[in-house]
Amino acid sequence: MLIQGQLVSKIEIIIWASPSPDVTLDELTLKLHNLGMSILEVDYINNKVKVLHNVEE
Amino acid sequence: MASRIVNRGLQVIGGRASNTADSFAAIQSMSVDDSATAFAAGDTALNSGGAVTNEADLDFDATPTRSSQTVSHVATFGTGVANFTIRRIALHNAVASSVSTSSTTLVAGIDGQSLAKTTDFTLAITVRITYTSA
Repeated sequence: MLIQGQLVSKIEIIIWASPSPDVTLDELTLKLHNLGMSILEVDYINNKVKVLHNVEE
Repeated sequence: MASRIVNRGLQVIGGRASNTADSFAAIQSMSVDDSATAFAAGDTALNSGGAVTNEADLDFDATPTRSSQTVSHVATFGTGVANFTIRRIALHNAVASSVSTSSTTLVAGIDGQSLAKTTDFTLAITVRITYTSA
């Protein structure tokens, strides 16, 4: 029997960093930048920064 | 960077879905570690490809959610944990207290990351698996 179609999975990660009480969001964003991380989005409303977003199939 | 559901993870998913006699536990925790070794299909534990120096694991923040064929798993690593360069993220079908670098609990993983975590921040990591029919 020929099975048409194949199960394929895609794994995606979304990472948000939130500062500790001793650090501001801007300080954290700069720190993460200096650590070599990719800053993808800064959310001032929710006090967090998106630092990585990889998708691979 | 590579991501994969390892063979053991495929067994877990198939076994759970069809309620086989294996009685696999559900996928319920996430780990991060600093191994530079890529995940391989035959891996069953984090250290299958070599020793792992630093590792941290947590139960999911909440029950995973599904939208269409995508299942989302979230774990938040606080300021006091996982303070090393995170290179791999993995899912396990065991509670975090039963997960270690050598536990046979590995389901899926993403390698090739480089994320230097410190005590200055928390990390909320979402791992989304989308199942598609090619």
